[in-house]
Amino acid sequence: MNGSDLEKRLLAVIDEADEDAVVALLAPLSEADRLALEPAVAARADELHRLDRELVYDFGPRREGLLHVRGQLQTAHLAWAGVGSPATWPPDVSIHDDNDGWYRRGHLTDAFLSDNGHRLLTERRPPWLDQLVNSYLDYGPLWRQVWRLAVEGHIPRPTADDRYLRELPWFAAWSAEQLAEMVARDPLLLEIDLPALLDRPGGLGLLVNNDERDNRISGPPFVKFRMWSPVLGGVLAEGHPLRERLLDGLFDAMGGDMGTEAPAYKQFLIQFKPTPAELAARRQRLLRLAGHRVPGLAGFAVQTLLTLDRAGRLDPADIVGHLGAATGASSAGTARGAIKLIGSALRRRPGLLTPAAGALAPALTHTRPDVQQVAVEALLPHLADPAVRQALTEAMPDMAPSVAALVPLEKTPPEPVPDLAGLIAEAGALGLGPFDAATEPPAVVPRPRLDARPGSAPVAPVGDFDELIGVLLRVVDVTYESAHDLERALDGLAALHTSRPADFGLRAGPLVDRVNRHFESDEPQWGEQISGDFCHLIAHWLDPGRELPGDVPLETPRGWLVGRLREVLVMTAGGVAGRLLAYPTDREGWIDPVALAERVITAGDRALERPLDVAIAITRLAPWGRAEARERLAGTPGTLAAAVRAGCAPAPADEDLSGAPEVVRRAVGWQLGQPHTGAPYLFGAPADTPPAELEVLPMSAYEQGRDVPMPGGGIFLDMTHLPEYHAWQAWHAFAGDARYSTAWASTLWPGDTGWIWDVGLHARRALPWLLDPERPLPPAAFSRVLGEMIGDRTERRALACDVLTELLGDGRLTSAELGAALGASRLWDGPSGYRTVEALTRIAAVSALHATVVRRSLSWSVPAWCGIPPRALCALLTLLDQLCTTDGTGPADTAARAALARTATGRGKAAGLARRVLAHPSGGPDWPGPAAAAALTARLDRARGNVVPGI
Amino acid sequence: MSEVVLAYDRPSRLDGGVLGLGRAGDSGPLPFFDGFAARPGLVAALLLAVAAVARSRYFQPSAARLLDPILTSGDGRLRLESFSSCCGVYARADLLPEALTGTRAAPGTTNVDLNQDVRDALSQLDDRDELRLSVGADGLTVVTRATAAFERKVTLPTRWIKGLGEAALAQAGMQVAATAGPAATRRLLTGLPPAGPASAPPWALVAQGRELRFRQAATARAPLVAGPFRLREMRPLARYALGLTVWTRPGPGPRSTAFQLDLPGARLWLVLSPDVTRGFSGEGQALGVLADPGTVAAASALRPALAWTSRLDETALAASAGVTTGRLRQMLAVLGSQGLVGYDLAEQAWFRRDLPFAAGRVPTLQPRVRRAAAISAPDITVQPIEGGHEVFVRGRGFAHRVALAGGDACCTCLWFSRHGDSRGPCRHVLAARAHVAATSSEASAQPPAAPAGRPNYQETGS
Repeated sequence: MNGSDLEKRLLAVIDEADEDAVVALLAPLSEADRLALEPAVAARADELHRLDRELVYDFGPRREGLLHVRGQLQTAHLAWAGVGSPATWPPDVSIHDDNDGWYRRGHLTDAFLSDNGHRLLTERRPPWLDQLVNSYLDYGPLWRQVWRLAVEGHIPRPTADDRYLRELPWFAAWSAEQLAEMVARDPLLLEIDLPALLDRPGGLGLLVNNDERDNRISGPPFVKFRMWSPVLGGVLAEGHPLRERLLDGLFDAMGGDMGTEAPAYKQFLIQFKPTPAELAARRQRLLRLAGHRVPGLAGFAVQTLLTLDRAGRLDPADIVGHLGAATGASSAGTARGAIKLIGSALRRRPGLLTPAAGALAPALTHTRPDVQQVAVEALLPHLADPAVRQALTEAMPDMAPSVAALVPLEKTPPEPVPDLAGLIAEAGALGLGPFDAATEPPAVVPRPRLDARPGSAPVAPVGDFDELIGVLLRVVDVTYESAHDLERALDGLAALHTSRPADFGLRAGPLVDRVNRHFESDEPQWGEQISGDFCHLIAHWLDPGRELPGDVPLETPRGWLVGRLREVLVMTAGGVAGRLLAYPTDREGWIDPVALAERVITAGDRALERPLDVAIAITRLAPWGRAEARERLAGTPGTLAAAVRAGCAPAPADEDLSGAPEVVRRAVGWQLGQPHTGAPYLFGAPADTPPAELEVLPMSAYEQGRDVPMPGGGIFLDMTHLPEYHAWQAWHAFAGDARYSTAWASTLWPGDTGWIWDVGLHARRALPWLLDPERPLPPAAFSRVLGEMIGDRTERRALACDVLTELLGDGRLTSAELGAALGASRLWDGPSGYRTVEALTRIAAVSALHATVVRRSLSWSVPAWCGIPPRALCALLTLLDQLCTTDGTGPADTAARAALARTATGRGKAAGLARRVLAHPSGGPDWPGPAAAAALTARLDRARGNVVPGI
Repeated sequence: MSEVVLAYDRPSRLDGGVLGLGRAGDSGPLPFFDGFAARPGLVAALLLAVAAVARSRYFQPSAARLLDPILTSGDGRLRLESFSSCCGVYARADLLPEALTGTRAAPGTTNVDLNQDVRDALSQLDDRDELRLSVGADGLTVVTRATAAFERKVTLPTRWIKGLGEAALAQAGMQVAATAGPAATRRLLTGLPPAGPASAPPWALVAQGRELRFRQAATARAPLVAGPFRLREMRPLARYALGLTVWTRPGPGPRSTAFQLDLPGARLWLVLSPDVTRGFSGEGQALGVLADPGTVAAASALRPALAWTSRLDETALAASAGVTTGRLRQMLAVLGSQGLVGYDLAEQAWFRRDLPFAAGRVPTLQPRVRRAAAISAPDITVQPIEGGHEVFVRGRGFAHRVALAGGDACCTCLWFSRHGDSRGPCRHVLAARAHVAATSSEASAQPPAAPAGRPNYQETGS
């Protein structure tokens, strides 16, 4: 075949994408023959590269040919690898500098990586092979090609090359099987390469950190696996120098100042599977490791020591000397293991009792009662020893009640029970009750709409121009502290926007600057966010003549807020000044009716031009002083006065409201409608069910999206055909509304904040409000609290726990409601179960009242515990046991005892705990004196007005 | 940014139970120390805790700037200080005389090199081992065996250097807010809330019976602690704990909080900034006095008189300087902001400590003072109002209105809108006060007033 024929034939096999044919065709050729073919091959490779780039972005019928072009492209680059040289191949460039060049070089790299590429290169044996290997070493993914060339003897083994060693741990293999084959084929890998790697500073770390892999490259299912540790642990026989070196290195590293990398070392060691003899030889290191500050390492050491101890390979003195820190480990399993080891050492060598008592001291006051109990049980047989008595005596005040009860030493005397009879009599005198000492009082139900009383801190209106500038700056800067600042800003602007001091520009300068900055940075749209809307409002004031924004429907709280802003905006545009009727007189959001009457007399019917202002003034009417207000407005002419009189009336009054805007008439009707349910801003109309919360679009939607080319180039991912996309859009539209301001909106209807709990977005923001004892706890709110208690966010769980603590403490929640709620399965499913127990444990620790209420709630909910996962069930039974010990009584309810008896029949831990609970006398005081006194005191405090908001 | 070169006289090493610490510093006397630790495991854990804070970044986790702890020797005790890379946590270990035996010491401050090898070796120590602490090159075999000096270049952000000085000022004026016994301390540290999002609200530290609990619900008098997970470096020392004392300034909202972990013969302090996202650098505790050149000059003159004692005697210092104790406190506040004295809450006193890298740098690191001084008199207009003055401070195209009434001030600038007076006065307030003081013969005799609610560095007349 002459050169021309050869070239035609080579180009033909490239077109056929036949890689084997390329290798066969090039095998007999000299370097000169190959180089002669290069221009044509390079041209074809570049042509195919361009075609590939075209087809990638072509969504028409041509795209079907993409796969074949890819095959041709790969074959062309294989051929190019066979006929070109480092001097003629595309240079290695950064993707950031030359995107297209990077892809061109990438095709060639793929060719080198293939088996055919390797064959082609080894058959060719070019004079520049060393140069090529050098470039391979610069590019990690080609590491394995270097190793193949070395193993087959084409190049010297590059063990001295830092790049070769550095990349070895990651690029040597992609599976344990592949690595095992590699080791079998090339023993020098273990004899030369790995020891050289370990000689390098950080070499062991490289090996450990590249041990864990996943099969992400080969697609789902996503599985993690380990590569080096199992292969090396299996291949290296006991006593092999490399095995010894790895074990010593791992123990040295783990014993050091280790942080986040500790789990990788621990897992490497576990998967390496050291033999008992190897571990025994390193027992001193394990003993020190048991006191390590990283809990996982301490736990590993203790568990390994337990194994060694069972085999009799540990010295008792060593155990007692080293394991003191581990008995106080945060992990209960580690602490119990350490106690077990010390107990074992003590049995073998009783002379170690004094240091053992010291070593067990941290466990005696451990956060977990079960750990305390194991430690106490280890020491009780030695109670006669002074050191043991001292350790137990010192720890007893901090022990769990059930554990302290096991110690036959003098207890701290219980606190005296307050005078219950006196408290009951006092409650009776205040008109509360009737109460009796042995029965839990019913839950307190605050009724702000009916029971609110004057006394809250007044909200002073803005008095002068400088004060107005100050409060507007805080709103624009979003540094205001509460919704009342927004009311002050709105009212101040409405009242003072026409007052222009002589040095207006000087005094308003900072506000102008901030509003301009806001527009420049955020470009806020009307109705989008509060600070932006105030900027629009201020802009209308400072720069009159702008186009007024449109109305927003009153179907949402945001609609009302934006509507109020718009009314003030209309005032500024029209040059009308005056105080707003809806400005609250106290921080609870109420308007004293007499104060409103005065405003009505001052404002007259012109105020009806602001229907939302009037409507909200009526919905904010406080429950007190209404008769006085009606008296003050008696005889005052006009529709506005009539509307306020009607709103203050105890029953529908004969007032002519025909001239009032509809929203005002509905507000009056809402005030008079008893009882009221539903969202107040809808005046009795049913609220739409909020869409499901879908904060993030699921990944499946992206996978099902359609690639749509855009006219200007690029691709648009179309998801409009997907239901989840529409659900996501619906949620965001709803959430945008809800996010506007929960806090401000809630002050519009201070008599009814129940609507907040129907929407998760509002509820999450409003959860801390329940810390205020004057807030009612509707069922929806209680459900939200429980939902947060088992949620994923720690601080939210803690907040929910604190809210429940307050609710139980001030009497808004009692055993009956909590017990009924604890029967719900959602509190026990998956991780929820343990979180529920954790929260109840924290709550029960607060006071005698909390402990008793939690015990009674748990006792009532016992029949619903059948499906609780074992871990949560054991924790729950432990808690119940503690609380029964504290109160000196067990569950009395027949159904609860029957359920416990069923659990107690097994042989597991839960069965033992259930038997302990059943062992408590069922006839003890179910509502003990300390709890009764605390509950009565809370109700008396409330009646006297002594309640202190939690926040 | 400032590049600091730490030139160590040798690398630190722990060899045969002797911990030889390399020293670096050029601003004052290098300390010398040689003694045995009574509880080697405890001392090792303390050193590791302080080193861990230096390597930590509790906000925007990224590669931490490695800075070596600072060691001060004086009065028979050692103090080891560090500061987190995020500038939000200050740590100090006080090794008291009873923790050290066979001590030979000379006073001074230095950076000490706690490298990975030393930390690894310290991790493996327990109380049954022997540990000899050696700081300095005099007469120790172990030191002469390893004398290779080396340099480490550290690029320190301005806010880091400034923050470390401010962390000392943050402690002055704190009061005890809560205490816990050994068991309660262990339980509190075991159950620290985990790190949450940076926007997570602060936690209230509430006493419940014998326990201290972190709660999300604030209660009256309970200190609010932002990001209590930042106490995690105390955990390894919990087993040695004799008790915990929590210090803060009284007042609403989150504040800087100091946690004092009492240990046998030692104390570990962690001082947390009022917000995880907020370092100490912008706290501006002493800006009022720093803006007064007379006080700054007087403070510089005071520096040579500071002794290397565990507590500086304010009465004696004031007498020797010929000033009142109130004036002396202002001068010490200036020195504190410059890193030249630290504050020991347990002793309720300042102690001398010359930050090796701070000398000559810190005075230039108060941008608010600098910018206030740059505002020229023609740009300031003062007019009297009821109870004080109304000052207009002209800036870019408009003027900010500053209202001064007694010790209170308010301004229309964004800084004041965001922080009020909680982080020191803004530059407009500083400039306004200085201008009013300069133009008022009556006020010019008085130092600038500190805002209400801030630590009182005013003259007390005593």
